[in-house]
Amino acid sequence: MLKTERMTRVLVLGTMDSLTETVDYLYDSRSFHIVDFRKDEVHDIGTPLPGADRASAKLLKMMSVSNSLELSPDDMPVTEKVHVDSINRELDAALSHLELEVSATLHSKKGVDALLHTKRAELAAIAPFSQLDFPLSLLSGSDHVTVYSGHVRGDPEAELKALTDACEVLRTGDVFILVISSAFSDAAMKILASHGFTEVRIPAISETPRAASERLSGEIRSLEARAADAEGRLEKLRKGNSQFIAAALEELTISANKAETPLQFGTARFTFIIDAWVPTKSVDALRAGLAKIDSGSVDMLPVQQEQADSPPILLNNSKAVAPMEMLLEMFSLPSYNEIDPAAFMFITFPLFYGLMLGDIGYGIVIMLLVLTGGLKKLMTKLGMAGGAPGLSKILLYCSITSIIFGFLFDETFGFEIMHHYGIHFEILGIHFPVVRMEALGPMLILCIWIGVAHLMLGYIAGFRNVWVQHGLKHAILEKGGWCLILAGLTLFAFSIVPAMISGAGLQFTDPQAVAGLVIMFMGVGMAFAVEGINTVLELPGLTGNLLSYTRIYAIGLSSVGIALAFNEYMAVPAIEAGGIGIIIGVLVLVAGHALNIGLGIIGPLIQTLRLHYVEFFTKFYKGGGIKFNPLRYNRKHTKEV
Amino acid sequence: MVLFEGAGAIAMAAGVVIGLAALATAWAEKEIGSAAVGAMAENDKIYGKALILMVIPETIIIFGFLIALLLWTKI
Repeated sequence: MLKTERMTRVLVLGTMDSLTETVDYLYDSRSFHIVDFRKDEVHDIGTPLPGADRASAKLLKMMSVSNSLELSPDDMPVTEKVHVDSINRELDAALSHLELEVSATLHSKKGVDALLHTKRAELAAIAPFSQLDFPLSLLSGSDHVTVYSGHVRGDPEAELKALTDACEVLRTGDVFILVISSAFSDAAMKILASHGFTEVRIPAISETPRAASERLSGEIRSLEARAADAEGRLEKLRKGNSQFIAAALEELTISANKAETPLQFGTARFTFIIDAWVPTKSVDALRAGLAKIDSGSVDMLPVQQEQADSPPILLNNSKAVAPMEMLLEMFSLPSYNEIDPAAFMFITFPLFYGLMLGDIGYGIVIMLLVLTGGLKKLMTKLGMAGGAPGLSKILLYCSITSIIFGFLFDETFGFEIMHHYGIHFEILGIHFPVVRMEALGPMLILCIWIGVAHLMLGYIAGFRNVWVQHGLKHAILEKGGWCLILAGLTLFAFSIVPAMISGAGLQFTDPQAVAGLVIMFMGVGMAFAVEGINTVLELPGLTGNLLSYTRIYAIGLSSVGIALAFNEYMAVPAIEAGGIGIIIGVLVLVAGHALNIGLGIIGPLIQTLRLHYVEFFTKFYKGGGIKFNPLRYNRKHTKEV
Repeated sequence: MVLFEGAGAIAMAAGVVIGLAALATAWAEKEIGSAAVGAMAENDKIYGKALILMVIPETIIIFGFLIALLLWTKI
């Protein structure tokens, strides 16, 4: 919590004959973040383990089989995990069998498909002439007789007859066929062209169209049966082998990755050297584990951490706080010497969100959406599946605070139900429920105070960061100075602003205002010593930051406003009108609140994020850490024991 | 000569304040948004940062909203 996991840089040294076992251990322990080795006088960059090329070749073949069968192993459900030993035992035989079977079936299916395509085209070519009752080869024409067939506009027959008697016109369906003496063929073509002639080719078959189409239909049926048979065989292959293929792909990927790991090591003729980061707390256990390999031919030594080193970042939070880490990953991971603010955000994030949304009904709907998995489905549909697991937990926290503030603000889908039943209570001298639309002044002041507290927390966290990085004196002057500026500004503002609003004008007689100004100038002086003129330039920014927290109230008001508009001005009058109005009113309520919930999820989420990223983080957070990414693999379709 | 006075003038002032602030926000977000979409086309991992940059100008309308609210209380 607050600190990222402490890391130690280690060198793992050993003899080459224990390299394979060492790689296995590195993967199994899931604790080694490897630093790529740079070539030196003694050590060269390592070469892949023996068998790497074979594993890659098999992986490639298996991927090709998987692609041919159109399998997607990533989203295949896991029915039964396959044991690694049985994969390795059966792999070679299964691979050659599958390759042969799949390629043969695909080949025959492709042949049948091509044939089917031609036969269908032939059948389609005959279709326009199906009404003719003589072999179509009779219409192929000769030196003396020309045949035209095609579509025409209008009726060119009379014009053609006027041209010559040596012609015959046939009509079949909408196809116009002209048989004419070749001497008149050019003239006839002109007439046809004037009628927008487009040719339909007469298929050269020696049978009547009916006989031909019956023959072709028969052939197509038998081809279709063969295609279905091939598809059935493929489906059978898919069904029978998908589990094994997914498991084999997984195992082959793991062994290919493992085999290539030494590319990140340094090796000499008889020894290897591995440069890595490991969590400090597990150094002893890892060293003991490595010592067991090949009776002590491998050892691990911690090395002195250099100033320029930046250890990888492994966030170290309790299970409840862990979902907040996603928000840090989205921004930038903290650097090694910075505070990890996930624990702060665990409190402030749902608090701000709840204050903005603050509605029992919306809170319950969001909670149900998260718990039933509906939100995940919705996000997958919108193409945002990546962030879903962390985000839904965050929204679950936020829905709880929304319901709590819903009680305090008396809002249930925008209706004031508690007011209706006359429920009210008192906490710390404040009368609840507080109706947000009417409590303008107090709500704004509350927002500013939240801002003061949040920014002060930011400066205190910044104090600690600067202390660790640059020493106590620097921290006191810089962040301590800013703490004083913030405190002074707050005192001054709360004295002067009410006077200005009430129209009393600027008066510096109030001791609170004077004290505020003095404290502020002391702070400016301290920070000025470290930051120079920047301090003065950033002063208006601090005021802006504080006012920015009033968005907590503003976003909340807009959500209430939309709900009220749907309820009071559209749904309630419609329902009171009775009859069909009741149906319309209910529809308006459902659609309106669905819209408002959609906005209510996105709006407060983004605004709360912004208050953290822009206002809060700029006070202490630099980020830029590299994620701790140890050697490891996840088995989904396979098991080792 | 007093052109505007009374509650009507205050209401109009509140309207102008929130309207102009909204326009300014929209203008700024338009510039940032188009740049952000362009940047995301190059590298879609910056979605989070782009989203945050996108909402930075919303502070402008928050200020407008505050002033409008303060004016409104005077009606």
